[in-house]
Amino acid sequence: MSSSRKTIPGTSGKTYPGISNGIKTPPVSSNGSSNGFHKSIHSDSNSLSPSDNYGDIEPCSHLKSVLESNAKETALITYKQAVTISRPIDPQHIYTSKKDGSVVSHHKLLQRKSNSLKCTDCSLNNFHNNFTCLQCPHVGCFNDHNHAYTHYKLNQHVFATDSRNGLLYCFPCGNYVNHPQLEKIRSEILTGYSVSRPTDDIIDSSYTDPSGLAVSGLKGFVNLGATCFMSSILQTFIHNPIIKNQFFNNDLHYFNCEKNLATNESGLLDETNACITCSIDNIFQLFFSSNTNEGFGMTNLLTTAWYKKKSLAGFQEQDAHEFWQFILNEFHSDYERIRENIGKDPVDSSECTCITHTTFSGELQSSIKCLSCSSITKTIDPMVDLSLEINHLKSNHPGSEINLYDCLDLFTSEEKLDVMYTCQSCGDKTKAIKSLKLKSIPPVLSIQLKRFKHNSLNDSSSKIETPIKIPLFLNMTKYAIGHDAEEDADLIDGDKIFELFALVCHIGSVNTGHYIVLTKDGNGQWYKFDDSVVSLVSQEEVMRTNAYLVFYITHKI
Amino acid sequence: MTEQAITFQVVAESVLKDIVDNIVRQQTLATFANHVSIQQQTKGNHESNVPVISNFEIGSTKDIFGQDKTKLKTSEASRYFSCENCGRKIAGGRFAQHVNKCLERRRR
Repeated sequence: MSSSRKTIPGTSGKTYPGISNGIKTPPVSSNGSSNGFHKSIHSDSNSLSPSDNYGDIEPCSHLKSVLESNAKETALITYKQAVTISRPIDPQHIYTSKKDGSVVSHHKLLQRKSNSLKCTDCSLNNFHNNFTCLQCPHVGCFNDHNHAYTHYKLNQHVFATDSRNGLLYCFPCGNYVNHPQLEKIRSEILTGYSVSRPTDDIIDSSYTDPSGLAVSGLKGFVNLGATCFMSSILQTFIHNPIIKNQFFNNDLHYFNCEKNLATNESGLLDETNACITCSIDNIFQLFFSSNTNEGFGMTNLLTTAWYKKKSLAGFQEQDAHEFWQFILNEFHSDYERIRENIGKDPVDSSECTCITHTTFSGELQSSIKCLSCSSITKTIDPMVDLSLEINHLKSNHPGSEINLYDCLDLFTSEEKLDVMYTCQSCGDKTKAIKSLKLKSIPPVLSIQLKRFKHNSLNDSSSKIETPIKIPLFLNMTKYAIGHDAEEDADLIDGDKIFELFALVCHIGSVNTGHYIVLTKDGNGQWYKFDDSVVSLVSQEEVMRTNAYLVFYITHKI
Repeated sequence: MTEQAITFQVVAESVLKDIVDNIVRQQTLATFANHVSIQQQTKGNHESNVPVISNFEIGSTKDIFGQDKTKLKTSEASRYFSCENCGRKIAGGRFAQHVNKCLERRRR
């Protein structure tokens, strides 16, 4: 395959105008700004674009033959140029021209880039998403007109680079292709650090690959009595990327927990070495490494839970939410215990970095407005979840079903206080109006719909079956401080968009019920876990389900 | 170029279509790359007897591994697990009860 270049790359030609003028591209600048609304989930890539999985894409025969031929060097140079042009313009960095060191404005840089990425045939820019041919200066669009493809057909130029991600596309194969040599160039330019993969020999001798089944973590839990309330909550932890990440990096607890290291004489579990975090760690370990698909028997957790709180040990049907709170409390106290073990001072809850607090903890601001002097007193309370009333709820839009936004509207609406309030600024004992707003929202927003009503008259409980439509994406902008519920009803703040990833549903009546859980995986596929039975469900079915607990995760991951 | 009259509506729709096309392409590529990644890094497990997720039918009577749902529930409940306290093997459905009694006994 000979390269038919009109101009030699690298000289000031018409090839890639942006590059040939020698704009100095920066070494990587760091960002990682936490916006203050979430406790910062560590973004460990100090890069312009996030690192991706494209390194694993295989080369095709066409690519291999080019890289083995004499054209290899030219191809690599051109590829490098193409990737450099694909680099997104970093708004935080100051670009200087190579020629004379003068500052080039971002606007000018953007213009240059747009110009060079215009389709040669139709001049469409397509948001900088075009294909730059590897063998000539042609830039082709890929959407409607498909000029990139027609260029290939006319000129037999097999390869082009996608200017969005820097990947090479092979037209005869109709697929993206990659190769370690190309990947090295691409990742160095786009992410600022080069990814080097260890060779196969090193891998084979030290590691065995986990099984594909284990990696997916798709298993059920065997019902060991009345344990469905436990297994549902556990599944929401296992398929929660943040918690999963915490447990995959749980060395701090594992190596410092005295209950893990101690074994009594008979090697059995007892009061002295019962630790919930260790049990759950064990569950994660086995879930993601065992090769079988049979349901998991959580015997260790049952026994441990018995020592901690007998009622929640799985022989009696209990409330899933209560179990969830119990586990979260255990995570926190275990964390404090570990901190003590390693000699660190305890910290205030607001700065605690345990699993519970970093994942679930947010703040509610309650404003009380005095009706005589109109002064507003604000207090901040920490929270790990929102409990929403659904009794007597009517839809805000008559004729349509009640949805979660209606419940949230009720939660944050103004409420007249029954008791007389002693105002702090004017001193009167008057009526007051209270309203709630969210000061900070945790990365995982947990919502409980109060479906269980306790009737104090005859000491009975009943279940409210009202169907409530759960949106797949939740916009919390208008419920946050600084926004008004009515004015900003349609406002969208990117930081406050949440994605539904788990629902716990209760089926049946108060006393004889069953829990099932629905979770979504990274590819958007929904699964239903009914004890040990795992099956697929459609998105429609998910939205139609009568949920009890819903879990949203921030869209910013 | 289009033969339609150039109105704001037409331009807006065209821009939207382009954006959506791009998003779909990016997402397809990302999903594909994830799949390839997982495939590659979990290679070497070609031993037989490793169950595979095979049933992608929604609303079927079988679970994702192709096992019948009702049969599975009954068979799972009769699996035996060892009690961590006394070491005996107890059937699944009665396990929690046993743990409760067994640990009570031990306490006394």
